[in-house]
Amino acid sequence: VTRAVVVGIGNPHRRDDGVGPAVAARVAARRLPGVRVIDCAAEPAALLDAWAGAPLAVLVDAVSGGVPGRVRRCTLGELARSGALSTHDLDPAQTYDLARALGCAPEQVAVIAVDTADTGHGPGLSPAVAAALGEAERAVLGVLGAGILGEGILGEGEEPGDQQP
Amino acid sequence: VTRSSRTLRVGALTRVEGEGALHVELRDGIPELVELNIYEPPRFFEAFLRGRAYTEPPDLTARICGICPVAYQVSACNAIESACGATLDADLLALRRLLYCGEWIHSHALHIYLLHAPDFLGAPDVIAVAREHREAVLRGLALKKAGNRLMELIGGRSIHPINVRLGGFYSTPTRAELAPIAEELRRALDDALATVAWVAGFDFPELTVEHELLALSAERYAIEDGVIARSDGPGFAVAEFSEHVRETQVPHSTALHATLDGRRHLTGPLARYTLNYDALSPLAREAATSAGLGRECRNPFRSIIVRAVEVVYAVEEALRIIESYQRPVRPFVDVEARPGVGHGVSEAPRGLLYHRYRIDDDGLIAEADIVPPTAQNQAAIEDDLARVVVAAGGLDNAALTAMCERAIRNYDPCISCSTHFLTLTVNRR
Repeated sequence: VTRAVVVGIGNPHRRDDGVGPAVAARVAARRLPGVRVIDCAAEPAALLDAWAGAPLAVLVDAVSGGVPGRVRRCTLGELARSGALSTHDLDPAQTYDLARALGCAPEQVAVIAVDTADTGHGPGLSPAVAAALGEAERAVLGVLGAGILGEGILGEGEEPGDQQP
Repeated sequence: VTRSSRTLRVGALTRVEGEGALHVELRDGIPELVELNIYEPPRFFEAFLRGRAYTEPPDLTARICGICPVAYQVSACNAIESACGATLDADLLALRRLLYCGEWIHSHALHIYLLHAPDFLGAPDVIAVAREHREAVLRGLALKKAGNRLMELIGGRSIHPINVRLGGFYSTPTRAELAPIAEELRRALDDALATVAWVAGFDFPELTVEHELLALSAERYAIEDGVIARSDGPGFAVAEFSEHVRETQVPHSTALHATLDGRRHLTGPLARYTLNYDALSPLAREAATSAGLGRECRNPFRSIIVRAVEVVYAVEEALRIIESYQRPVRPFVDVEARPGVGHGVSEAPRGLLYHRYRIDDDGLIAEADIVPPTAQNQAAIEDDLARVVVAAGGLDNAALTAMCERAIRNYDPCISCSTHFLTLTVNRR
């Protein structure tokens, strides 16, 4: 049974826009029971499918501007206003509204936003954003822990940032 | 307030692919100026293709559009394979047609449900439509997904497929790999027929256009190739395309305007349907008849029905190809570089897409020329707008502006994929 879905939004071939998929990959490597992890590079319809049937969705997305590497938890509404990088016609907030109208929205959606330094062409994260991967992963695990999995996702003294996918 | 002089402006059109605006000026109900402004920056594809290897245009030109990349890949392949004298095996051509069916299904479903239907239901967007017509929107999304899945399976991914190459494909699926998608397509056929019935129930403004129609024609309904047909006379060879269809610059648009022998013309679903009615399958023709369409359709507002009929055809055609599919003996035929000129065409969801390349002695692209359907349709769109503002002149500015936007969306104009925001200003003088 899927209890939560983690969605990494972004394009890994546009530098820091790939932070969502990079964080998602780290979460996926933990193979948490009941947690489905998905990359969602472009298509809003894919996001609809990705979170359908899950009580909790955690989106990880890049945000342009701000302080490179800053990790914030925000709502979908705030994401829409914060310069989220969306190259297609429905942004995540609109996709959520569509999902609600269709009756297939998750009960709860959390967004972990990471401010970017460079969204130019090519793979690879800027140093500031690469250094924030651990914090972003911890933020995702925090939401999952509070939301559905209970405490104890992390082992004693374990730093999520230590684990490489 | 005087109503004798009106200016309608839409700063950024919504529910179209790309960035465009609308500017209409009326004096005493007569349009003095009707401009579809395409202000998206020029992209210089034809220029930067020069000097690239003759193998590269299919992948590079796919990037022109995220909605119809297969159209660009196929027109590019057709042109270069023709220049190099390569002939594809019949089974590879069938697979290319199958991939293209996926693009038609996905692109048409996107336009019908997410972009166009709101116009007929008095809704600002698909989210509002979904609140009132949940089942319909779910059906549209399922249909679009079936098209996307077909593109993923044959093309490697649904946006900018990576498995297409000159002469065929890098790898071809086995029969067993196609079985699950056939299952999905059988359900999609029901959804496609239900789509025709759904859109047939909409109300359509009256408009009959006299533009000359231009489309490909073939034994089967033209998709991935064909000969050029036109409504007002005999067709012409693909190699003569640029003698008949000429592009000119206009000051108000970064897209070129094209004319057919000096007159405006129309390409896309209405032209394809009207010129190729007999090539449709019996089921697609039956769906068209039950939706109230005759052998031809010249009302752009009814293009949503034609697209729905074409989805029925594309799903059926995909199933037919899959049923008789045997894995090709080789994934591609060799295409050796040969200096010369090649012309290629195919029917993008929005209409006829022409590519021409000249290959030099070193196998590099020396010249490239791409004529997309939306450039060809710009003059027709502006003419429709002029008719609409005259016919609907009694509406207030907001309603008239909305009607103008509808007239543009009838064409599913693909200016390119990008975000867009609506800022509307109405000036009355």
